[in-house]
Amino acid sequence: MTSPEEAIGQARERAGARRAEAGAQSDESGGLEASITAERPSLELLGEWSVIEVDSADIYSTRRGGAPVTAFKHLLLRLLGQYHRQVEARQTRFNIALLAHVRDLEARVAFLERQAEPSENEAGPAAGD
Amino acid sequence: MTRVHQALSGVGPYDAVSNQAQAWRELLGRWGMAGEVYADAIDPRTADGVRPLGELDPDPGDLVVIRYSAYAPRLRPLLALEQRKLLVYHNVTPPRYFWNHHPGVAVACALGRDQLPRYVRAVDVAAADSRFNASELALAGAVAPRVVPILFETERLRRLGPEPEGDGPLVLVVGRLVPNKRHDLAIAAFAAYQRELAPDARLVVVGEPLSPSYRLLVERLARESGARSVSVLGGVAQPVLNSLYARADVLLSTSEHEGFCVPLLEAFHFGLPVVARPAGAMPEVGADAVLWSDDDHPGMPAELLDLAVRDGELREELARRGRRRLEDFSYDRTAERIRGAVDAALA
Repeated sequence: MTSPEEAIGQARERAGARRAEAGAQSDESGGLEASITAERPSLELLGEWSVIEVDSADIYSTRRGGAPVTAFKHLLLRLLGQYHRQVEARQTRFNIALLAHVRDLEARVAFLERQAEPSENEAGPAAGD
Repeated sequence: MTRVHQALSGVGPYDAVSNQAQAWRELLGRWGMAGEVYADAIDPRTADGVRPLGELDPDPGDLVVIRYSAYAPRLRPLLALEQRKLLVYHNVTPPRYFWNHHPGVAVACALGRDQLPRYVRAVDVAAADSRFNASELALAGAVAPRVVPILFETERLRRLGPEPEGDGPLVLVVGRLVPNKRHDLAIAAFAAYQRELAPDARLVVVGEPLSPSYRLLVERLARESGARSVSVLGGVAQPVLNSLYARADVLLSTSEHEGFCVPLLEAFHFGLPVVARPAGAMPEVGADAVLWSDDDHPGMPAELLDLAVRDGELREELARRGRRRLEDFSYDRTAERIRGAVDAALA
């Protein structure tokens, strides 16, 4: 009888052998990995998020027979399109401007840190630290 | 007479936290402590027996159970109530899974995790449904949080729906369609299994989607994987799910973050072998009754699926171990834990 523990060992071995046979092709990743962010999103990702775009496919009703409700919500969106585009544009303007400031600050901090490094070495450790 | 009321941020269909509130209410009723279930957001599909949170008006001697699984600003006023309070933590998913897919949910998760310490400080007793979740409660400041597992009642698993159609090994994936469940890995594992080992295999994915666009994304991933015979069903009624459990050959879970994972117990109930990833609370629930795949590459879960489907003796052994796990999570045993937590909160 194959015990569950033996089955796990066998599966690991067979998968390893198959993977070795297939070579690098089998190592291709994809799926959702790239869409799951780090705890703190990168500046590049913040840049993507700064542009406000709402997917209207996610405006829907969960009610039974909710198709008319969904259709009504989409109609409302269309009727209020001018207003929403203004809101989105203003929020996007603010986000992009703020992000530009953050990028500038990051660049300045990096520059100042680079400048500080050699002078610290030259001065040696400060007394009393 | 003391009544125990339960407050939730929201109730929805196919949702473990909502089911727990109903199961507790029934149990509390047997003890003569039945209160009501209140929720802030009530999905129209689950309105039965749930009252709007604004109507909660407990008597001075009542106990208020706060079920915490998301940011819930309208639950916060409950913390100031003079009544005794019991916090039951069901886990809040880390926001990193949602930022790219549903920013609104991500914000709710970020704030939910952030505000957990406030809830811990304000209640009389803090409990979680797994040791994994209890460790998060401890990090939020809870002293010796209690572990009160999911109250697993099997009555709802009895009624069967229509028999699923088709032939060939049936691989079942059960769980909300949300990024932390990593359906992409399940699809990749199934594709490898079908391609290399079982060309006639079928995959059925059951779970309420995060959003219509996320469901489309999962369906697209299935198409791009090259796998055939993949059905993404969305949320289904309990009898339909029961029939799938009864007919399936194996349950597959590649989830990356789980606060408990009720489908493991449901699979054990149906004697169904489970191939899963040892993530979150799953190892403490499944223990030695699950074929654990610790390799993210699809090859290993694919091989485990094959063994779980073909090896009759292995299936029997897994079913035997599964029954033993069900004893550990039996209704009566968990009811005792619930009673202990309720009594401690009222003491």
